[in-house]
Order: sequence, then C-alpha cells, then structure tokens
Amino acid sequence: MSDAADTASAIVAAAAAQLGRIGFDEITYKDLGSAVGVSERTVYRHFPTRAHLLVRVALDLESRLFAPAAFTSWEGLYDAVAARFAAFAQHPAEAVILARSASLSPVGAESPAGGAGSFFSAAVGALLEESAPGLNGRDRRRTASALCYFASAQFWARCRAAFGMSAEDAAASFRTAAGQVLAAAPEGTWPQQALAGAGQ
Amino acid sequence: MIGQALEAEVIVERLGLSRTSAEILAAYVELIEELGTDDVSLKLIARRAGVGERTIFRHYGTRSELLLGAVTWADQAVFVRPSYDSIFDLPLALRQTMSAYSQRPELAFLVAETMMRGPDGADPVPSRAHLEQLLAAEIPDMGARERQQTLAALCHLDSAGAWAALQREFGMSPADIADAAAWAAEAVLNPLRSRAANG
Repeated sequence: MSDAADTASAIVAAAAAQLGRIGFDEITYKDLGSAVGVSERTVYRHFPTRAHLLVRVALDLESRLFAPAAFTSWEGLYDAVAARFAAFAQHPAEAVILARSASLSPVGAESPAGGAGSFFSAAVGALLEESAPGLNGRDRRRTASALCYFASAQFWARCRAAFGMSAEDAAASFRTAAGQVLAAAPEGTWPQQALAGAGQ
Repeated sequence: MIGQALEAEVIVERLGLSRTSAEILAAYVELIEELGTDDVSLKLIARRAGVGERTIFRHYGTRSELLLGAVTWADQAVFVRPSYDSIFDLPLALRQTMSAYSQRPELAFLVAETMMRGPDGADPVPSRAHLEQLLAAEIPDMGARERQQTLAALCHLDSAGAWAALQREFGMSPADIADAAAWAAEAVLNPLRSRAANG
C-alpha cells in the first residue's frame, strides 16, 4: 500500500521535475517510467489518463511552491494574492499547470487543486462572514466566488498570456476587480474598512 | 434569432475556415463528446466527416493543431454567444453563454483547459476584440491601464474557465453559475455607467 503510494509520488515528482524544460504535453509515460524505475504500464495503472496525472502534479506544486499565505484581514487577502501571483511569475510553467488543473473536469477523488483552492475560498468565506454579517447567503456566495475567481491561477495566466501583464499588474487588476465586487454588495451591509482597503 | 445554418456560415467565415476544415472540426467535436475523451482516432474522424484521413493531415498537420482548431470551433460554434451592441449588455449575454456551457459540460471543461495551456493553447480571450471595440466606442475617455484592467476582468468572466471554476470550486447549479457570472460582470461595469458616452 505505502509502496504504491511511494511509486505514485515518485512519478509525480518526476513529472514536476521535467516541467520548464519541456511542456506537460510532451512528457511521456515511458520517460516517467524509466525515471522512476517502473514500467510504462505501472505508470498507466497509477494515472489512467493524463488528466489524472495533471491534477496530482498540480496538487504537488500547490503545496510545495504556491501554498497561499493565511490571512484574516482584507489587506492580508490582497497581500496573499500579490505574493501568490509573484510566485506564479517566478515559476510560470508550474503555474500554468495549476491553471489547467483548476479548469479540468474533476477526475478521481482528488480535492480541487489550483485556482483559488479550497483553503483559500474557506478563508475568503470566513472574512466575508466576519466583516459583512448583514450580507445574505446568496450575495455572500456570489461575492466569495467572484473574489476567488479573480484571485485564481487562471486569472494570472490570462492576464499574462493575453495582456502581457507582470505579476504586479495582475495583482493590481485583482485589487481593482475585488473592490468593484465588494462595492456591488447592497448598501448598508459593508463596514467601511472593507471597502477602504480595496484598490479603486 | 437568425437560423442555425446562417450562424454556422458566419462562424466559418470569422474563423477563416474552409468548408472541409469546418466539417472535420465539427465531426471531431461530436466524437469528443460521444466518447468522453479528445483521444479520438483519425480514422473515426475521417469517417464521420466524410473525408479521407490524408485530407485531415492536409488541413491539420499535428494532433495538437487539430485539438486547438476543435476547441476554437467549439467555443465559437457550439457555445454560440448572443450578439450584443453595448458593453452593458455583456451580463445578459453571459447568462446565455454560461447556460450553453452547462448544457455540454465535458466539452466546456475541455475548452476551459485548452485555453489555459499557455502559448500552445487556444486563444485565452476570444471575446477581447469585440469587448475592446465596445469599450472604445462607449467610454472613449478611459485610460490605457484602466482599459486593460477592465478588459482582463471581463474577458476572464466571458470564458469557459469562469464556468469551470464556478462549477468546480463552488459546486453551483447552472442557474447559480449564470447568475454569479452576470453579477460579477455587472460589478465590473457599475463604475462605468455614469461615464458612458451615450448614457
């Protein structure tokens, strides 16, 4: 059991190590097998499709390179996103894997990786609950989802690929969008300090 | 609503495709959905499109070119976006686009993922030109930085990726996804309403 888990982890590590030198789509199961010392068939047994492999590599990268900082304030949220986007810019090939993984149809029982990530969305939800207790459930969910989506690896990747933005520019775009989203909440539900921190 | 056939003609023209190319892509997209994978044999695609395998090679040199073509085709032709003439109509259009993605989820995920592949992927912002044009016409006094930020946010919302994220991360129903995407676009557009040239 633990041997199988070790083999799977070793395959994931071997795939992650190849990123940057070659794209994910050029990584072959055969090469992964030889890197780890198992047959190509064994690699297939652990990762029946490339989507399975992609999701596991993204989880690995998320925890090693891109773990988001904890935050309990709005300023903390903006700082955490800026730091994350900066880390993406330092490891663009790896960050694209996160963006791809978060866009995939869910495979297996893996928890969602990349994108805003479940830890991140829980923290955003808690922040909203604390600073805007008057917000109804529906508005809170819409606000949280928009904030997380603009904080995601997909947003960074899109800003970079289509608009040639630096990590700072992408983080500034997040701040602007977040401010707009927060300002759209019904009047009277926001304490002033939440909006004061948002970039406009 | 104009007829489906005419819509297809318009899209073929916009994408600069020959009739044969369009038929190959349509066949490939159909098969991807039926088989639940993009790993479809050329033989099968050729048979469905009514062409020879060599014809496919002539039109698409590599497997990834074929996939990119199919994803672009799917995003433009399968997930038909309603046409609109004002940037402020985007939220309403987004509701329809998101509903279209919800009707064919596996294809929507494939489009979303292919748009995130970086330089080898499909155009990550297919609606950019249209949105840029509307912004320039309706809010001409917008600075370059603000324009870029607004475009990035709106293009990000108007994508299969937005649908995929709302689906996956928040497990939203199709109605809630359409609502959340439209609501976020409204939020981005709200500060611009009073500045619209014709407003």
